[in-house]
Amino acid sequence: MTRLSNFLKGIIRENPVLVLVLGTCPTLATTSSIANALGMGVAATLVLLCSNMAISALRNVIPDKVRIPCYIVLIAGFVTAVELLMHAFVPSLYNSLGIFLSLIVVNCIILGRAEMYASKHGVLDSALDGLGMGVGFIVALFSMAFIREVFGAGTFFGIEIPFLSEYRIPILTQSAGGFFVFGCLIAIVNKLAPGKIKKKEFSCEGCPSAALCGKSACAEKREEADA
Amino acid sequence: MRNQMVKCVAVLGAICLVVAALLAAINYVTAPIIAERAKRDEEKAYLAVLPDATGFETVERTAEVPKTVTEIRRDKGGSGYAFMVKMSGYGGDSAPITAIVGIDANGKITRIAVTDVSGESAGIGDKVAGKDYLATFIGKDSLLNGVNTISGATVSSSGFIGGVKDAFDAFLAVAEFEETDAQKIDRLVYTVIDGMTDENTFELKDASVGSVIKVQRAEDGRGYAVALRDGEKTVIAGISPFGKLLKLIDLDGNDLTANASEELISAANAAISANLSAVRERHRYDISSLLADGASLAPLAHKAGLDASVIDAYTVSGAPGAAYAFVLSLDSIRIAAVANESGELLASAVLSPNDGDASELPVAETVLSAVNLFKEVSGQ
Repeated sequence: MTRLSNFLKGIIRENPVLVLVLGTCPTLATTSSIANALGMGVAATLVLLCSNMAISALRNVIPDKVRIPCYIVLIAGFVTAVELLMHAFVPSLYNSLGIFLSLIVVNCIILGRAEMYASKHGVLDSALDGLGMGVGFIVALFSMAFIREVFGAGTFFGIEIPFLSEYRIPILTQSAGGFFVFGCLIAIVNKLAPGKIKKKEFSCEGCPSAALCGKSACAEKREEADA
Repeated sequence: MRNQMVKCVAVLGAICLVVAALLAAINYVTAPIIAERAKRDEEKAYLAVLPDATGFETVERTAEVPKTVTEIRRDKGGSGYAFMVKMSGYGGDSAPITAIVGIDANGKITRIAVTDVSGESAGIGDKVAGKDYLATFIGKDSLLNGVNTISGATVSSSGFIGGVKDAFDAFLAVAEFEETDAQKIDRLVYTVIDGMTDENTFELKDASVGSVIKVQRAEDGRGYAVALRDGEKTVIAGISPFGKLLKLIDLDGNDLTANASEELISAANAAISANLSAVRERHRYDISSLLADGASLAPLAHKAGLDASVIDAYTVSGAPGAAYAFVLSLDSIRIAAVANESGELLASAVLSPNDGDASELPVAETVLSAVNLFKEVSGQ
């Protein structure tokens, strides 16, 4: 695949949040305000980019058996670095993100892309993939946050919108509303980009633990595929 | 195979080492910046409530400082004190409201800054942090006249007000400050009747006439606290529902019960008589619902040794078998009880609160001992 399509695929066709359904926790948690969502998106993209590049660079050095612990150490290292730098230089953003900054470590997008892509491709390709996925993450976060903040709280980036702030729907800023919006967005994206999504890449065959998994459904599928 | 294992361990170990070293380096650079910023934020917060302060010094918390007051800062220039208070609102003790209360040298609030209100419900409880509400506190002293709870956010706002009062308690503990008499009364009025607190009493509004300054009545009827002027001094008297003086103190907390004059006791009784008669009339009405029609009640005077839980006592005539009737206050539950000549409990009913459960309370025993007491005094 061309370098450009590698980058672009992360934005709609293989959007990590709306198509691959990875990283839903921070999505639901930080999208009650646009400022938080963008902050989270940028932080996660930074970590994703760095970790993809590092893991890709070390892909021939890290033995298969310890790859998950190694990836996690690297990812956790980058997240901690981002955390410290944020705490020192942008404390207001640090305070709003709170615990979700630390939770980027277990954000499935990062570990998932490391497994699915970075461990098998070159540094530049992995970087582009990471960047594309990160942008896709930001786009998804922004769309959700836009709907939830503008219609749920009647503000945009904290600035009140004259008409909407009187007729707001507060449930949108709470958990239940978050799930509503999330489900609707997934439905819209999957409708707008049908057939272009290669489901095979991320069903059992694409799952990082496929080789180790003994669960009946996956094992049966594998046996069928092998047979 | 072993080679593989060694490689695994070596690679993982090396990665951990490198990452750790990198993080140590970044921490070395950022830690001082973070610490400096935390200190400046703290200073800014305290400066927000004491804007004329020149510099702050930390004051040690003494034993009298309430637990909710976690930090005390004194302005070196003498303009006042700032107290960091963790108030228990809707979020309870696990998610307290954190606020900084500034009190100037005259004991009046300069400003309150709320730094953490995340434990309260958004749009409801967090109104305690609203500019308009906080403005009602400015300039108030410890009596907090004119400060109200927020309707619809009672738990949050009454927790907040309680926290501000704690700040005043801390102020009294660490600052050399002369309270006005009104403030002392406000603080000491609950100490004259056992079990009285500011939550289970209410003030009798029309009682402040003549030498009487303030009267507080315990909700369960166990007594009255009367603050009145005795010549030059101001004293606080605790009166039982039978008009007996339970305790007398002055505004420095000294116990004057032994030296109470007759005039003082009757002045205090006069202050509560209107309310007391209304209460007793209500008692008679409640008791007669336990008796047959046509029964009448005659009030009994107080006898020494009467259990403090008996707040009203009558003899009954015109009802077969019934001889005595009492109103008891046990565990803050008011109970009407009717007994026969021998002191056996004939009937009882819970008067308040509506959901009060009297089944575990010693109603029969209290009634029996009360009847025996009245019988022995009248020589029967």
